[in-house]
Amino acid sequence: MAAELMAGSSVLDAPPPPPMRPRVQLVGSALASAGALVFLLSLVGIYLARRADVINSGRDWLPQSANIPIAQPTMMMATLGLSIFTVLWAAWALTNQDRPNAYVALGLTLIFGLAYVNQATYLFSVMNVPVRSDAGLLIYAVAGTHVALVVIGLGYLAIVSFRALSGQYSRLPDGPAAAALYWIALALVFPVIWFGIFITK
Amino acid sequence: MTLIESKPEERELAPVADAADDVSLQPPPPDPGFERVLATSDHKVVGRAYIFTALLFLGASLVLHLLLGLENREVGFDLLDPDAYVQVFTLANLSLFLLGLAPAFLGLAIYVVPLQMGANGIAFPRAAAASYWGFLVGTALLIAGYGMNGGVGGGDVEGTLIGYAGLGLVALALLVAAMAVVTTVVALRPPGMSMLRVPAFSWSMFVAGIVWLVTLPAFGANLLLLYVDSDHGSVAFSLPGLAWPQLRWVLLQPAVFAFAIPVLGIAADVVPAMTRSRIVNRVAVLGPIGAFGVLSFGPWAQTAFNPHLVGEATYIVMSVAIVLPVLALLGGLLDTVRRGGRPQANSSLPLALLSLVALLGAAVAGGWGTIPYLDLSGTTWPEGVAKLVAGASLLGLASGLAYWGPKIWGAMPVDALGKLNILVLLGGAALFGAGDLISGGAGQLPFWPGLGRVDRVSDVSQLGQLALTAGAALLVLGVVLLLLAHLPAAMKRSGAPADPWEGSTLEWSTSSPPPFINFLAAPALVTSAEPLLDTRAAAAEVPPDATAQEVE
Repeated sequence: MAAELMAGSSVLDAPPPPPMRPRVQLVGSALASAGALVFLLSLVGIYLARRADVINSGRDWLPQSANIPIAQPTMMMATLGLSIFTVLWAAWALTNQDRPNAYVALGLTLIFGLAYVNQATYLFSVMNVPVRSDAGLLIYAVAGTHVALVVIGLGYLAIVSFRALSGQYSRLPDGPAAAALYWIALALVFPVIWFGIFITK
Repeated sequence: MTLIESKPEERELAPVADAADDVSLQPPPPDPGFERVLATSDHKVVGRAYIFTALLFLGASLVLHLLLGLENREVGFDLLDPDAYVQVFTLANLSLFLLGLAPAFLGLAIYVVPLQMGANGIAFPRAAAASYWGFLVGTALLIAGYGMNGGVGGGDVEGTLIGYAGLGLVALALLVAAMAVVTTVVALRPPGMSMLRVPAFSWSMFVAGIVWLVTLPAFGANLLLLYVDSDHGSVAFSLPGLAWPQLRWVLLQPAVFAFAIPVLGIAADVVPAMTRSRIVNRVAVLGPIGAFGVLSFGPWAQTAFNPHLVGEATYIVMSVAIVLPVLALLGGLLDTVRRGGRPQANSSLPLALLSLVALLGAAVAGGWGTIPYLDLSGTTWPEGVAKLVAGASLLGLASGLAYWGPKIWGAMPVDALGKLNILVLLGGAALFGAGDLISGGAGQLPFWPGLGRVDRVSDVSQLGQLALTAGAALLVLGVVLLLLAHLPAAMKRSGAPADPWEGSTLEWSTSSPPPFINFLAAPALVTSAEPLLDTRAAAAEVPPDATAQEVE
């Protein structure tokens, strides 16, 4: 009966809507993450190649005045490691419409990110490596680039948080996953920097 | 690096039922105007702007190459002082690929790929538009840096920093555009279009985009180090003679071949359409394009940090192996021509086939140059290979513009000029590359910015320089002819049929130029790589007296 009533209506005449395309932001973020990782890893590769050249030529790589502590970089790595869990928690909560959990998880991730930036700036201020040297230039380039990418990630997460507050992820839930993907890529590459630069020095 | 967009999805999800009644979905007014270009996120406007700007920069870059070719102190042509020569040399080489060919292919892709996907727009449309403006601003900064006696190899620190910043911005802009194109191919395909059914040009741009996404950041990393070092008194990376090798690797094999990946896709789309035939084995077409992309991955081959690389087995094997995918694709397409019907009289077909022949020549020359006992790697030979790649890319670009020109401009390009351009571009590409190959074969050392000029002492290398100069002049003429062939169509903007070539892919199912949302109805389920050929074949099977309802 209902079908007969609606048979002449415009609802049934209309063609089906185009398919949902939820992966655009996720794919874009994956590509952006890949580009960021290649940028960072290229810098690490140049650091290692240059360091090997200098050491093989019998010179000291780090200046005598340099004092790179191990505690700060390790804590930075631990902080980013923790943030992987919180950002995954946030993505899961947003996908499942669990707003309270999402706000807590996003807030914690932002705090961890800010803590990482704070620790990095402290580390730069105490390691006493001049920029005007092979080693100094490369250390600041690699570590500074990672900090800059983390700051961009913080901005991305902040936007995701604001969008979550406005309820935009009820229809297209790939935004949180995209932000989480970028953040996790940055967190996972830090051990390479930690070992390649702060451990082997 | 983060890209957040909401409008595209919203627009894509908008119901299409009322498309014909909605004024906002109707075709745009014929004259775009500056304001519309400035504020647009329409991929078609951005694509057109990219193509025209890149063609202008390409012409300017070739003029610089012509100037370098004319500069010949040994016969009394001393046009440039040593400092200016360094700057013209680096700018000419960087601009040929980064300001000319790569943006031109990206412009073509930004226009065509969403149409081939049957999509209403490109993924991240505002990012694509921003990439164009970033590209323009970056180019302006680069040229300003050179104008201040800076740029790569310049003497002024401020100018050098501005030049590096401009170059970095250009690389970032190209990355963003590539990301938008790749995302479109991955995420905006219509129902039924598997990756194996993606049109060859879109596939080639997918491969090129991925390769550029892992190449240009490595180039950017070098730029960052040069920038920081120059800003702190040049203690490590930007010392005289060291800066150029850190950037030069992206313009030499294997990385330089990455700029020519779209040429393979253009040829693989143009040849079947112009011969009205299908590609029998798509794996045999898409596979070589993918293999070519893998073999053109170049960040590992930075000779500035590994000077002994060119003698290593991996480098030699990769340099020789890149011949195979080009050969396989060329063979497959020639077989398609043989099986197909009478070819359509359009310049795009010979240009496409000749671009592959030129690329094959570049790949063979590249492989030949790595044979250790020939000692060609330290000569101008690798630069000749790069110039052959540039020539092949220009031939491919001309083919793509001749083929998609009616769709892009909405009017038919002047094909008589296109046909004349076949000879001009082929001669130009051959001579442009052969010049440095001849000189390299004679043992001519390449110019090395920061370490002074190298005179051409032998008659053979003088002959090489003559060939290079003639090739550059012909390529400049070729770009002028290309502009003359397409400018009238771009001004006219009407009169082209929706499908002038009886094409097989989705872009030919909409009007020329397409309306704002590209397709007024959602594309039907794609069941093969040639959906329009299927539609025509199905229509041909319907009896002539069938009613419209039966056809439906």
